[in-house]
Amino acid sequence: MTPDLYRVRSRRRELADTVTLVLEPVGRRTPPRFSPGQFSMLYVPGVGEIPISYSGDPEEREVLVHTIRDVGAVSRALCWLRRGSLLGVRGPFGHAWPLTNAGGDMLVVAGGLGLAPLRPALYHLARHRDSYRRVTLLYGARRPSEVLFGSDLARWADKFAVEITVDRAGPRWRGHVGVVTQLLPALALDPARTLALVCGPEIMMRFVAEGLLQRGLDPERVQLSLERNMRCGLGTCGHCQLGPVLVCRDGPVLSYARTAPLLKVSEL
Amino acid sequence: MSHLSEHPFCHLLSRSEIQALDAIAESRSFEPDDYLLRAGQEADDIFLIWAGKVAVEIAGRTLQTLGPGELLGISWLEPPFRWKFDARAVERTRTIRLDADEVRRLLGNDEALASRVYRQVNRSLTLRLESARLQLLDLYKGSR
Repeated sequence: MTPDLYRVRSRRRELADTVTLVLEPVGRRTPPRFSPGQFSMLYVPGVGEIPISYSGDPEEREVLVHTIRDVGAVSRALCWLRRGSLLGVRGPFGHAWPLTNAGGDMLVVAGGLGLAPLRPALYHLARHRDSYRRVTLLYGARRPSEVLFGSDLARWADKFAVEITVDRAGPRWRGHVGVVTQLLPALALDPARTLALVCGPEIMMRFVAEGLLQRGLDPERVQLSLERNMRCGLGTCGHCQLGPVLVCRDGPVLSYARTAPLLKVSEL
Repeated sequence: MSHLSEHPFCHLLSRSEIQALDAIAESRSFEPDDYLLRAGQEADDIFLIWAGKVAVEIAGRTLQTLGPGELLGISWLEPPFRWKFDARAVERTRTIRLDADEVRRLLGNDEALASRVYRQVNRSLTLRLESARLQLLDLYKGSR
């Protein structure tokens, strides 16, 4: 599967090390449709290719949006792309967030840059707000200045409950301080009707999932997005293998029922 | 009886035990930026948060916020019974205040009550220790 050629239409610096790129296809093509939670393989010629989740609105037909943190050679090259730069894009790949709980409650729990893969799902939930009963977003960030997508959060707060907590703050911060798991005990939750979507660092996801199980959620109703070393995107190369799971093909979104035994194995 | 019976702190207690605590309970409200506790002062209050949000602070830095259903402060449990941190209302906050001297006296006279209260305190401390450990990991730095 060869990459399609895209051009950077715009670039927005979100944090010191994090950038959102808006990509448009070169030529008369339109980008492929994607579902919230899926990912693309982004290819910088001469540097390499990495998986990055879609972070834009799934109803947007003209462009693809990806939010990237500078953590390695390829992500750094992507963060340094300028308006007009060319890159290769393959995808969409992987399983999406299940947004099938119509009439029920949706709980979205994000940590740090984990909000980016959840953003398409949140656009969907805001657009189809009437199809769900209770919708709640719990978002943990490092500090107030590292809260991502501030204008989206403000818009979503008009549609559903949004609670933000940070690890460190000064006296001017009026939100919560502490890890995101701390918000779970007081949360109004109907376990039988709630579907939870969780994305963030793996340790955070594990503690959130265990906290939700303690509140009575079935592990099948807790969905996590995993991050592994995905190369082919097609489930053939085996780089993203997690025990019996190939994350690029079977994930990245998987239930806690399926991933819990694997996440507890050291070095897997 | 006040709201005390509905507060999670009392979930393990019998009706008569809650009544005993209720006799020494009073409602206290705080406006934003009012201090509930000051580091160094005598720990003679036990605050059970009913509504609002409280920041636990040291030297102007917020370590953690506490909300409805939570117990504020543990320095009343062990000598020298002095607060080690400040606690400031972040928003309008309603609490149930128990007199710490009276609670210590009740616990000293009633082992069964003491055991249940300490279990509840232990549950609260376990969650806070877990949260503090996760906070120390600085999980969001450089990861996704």
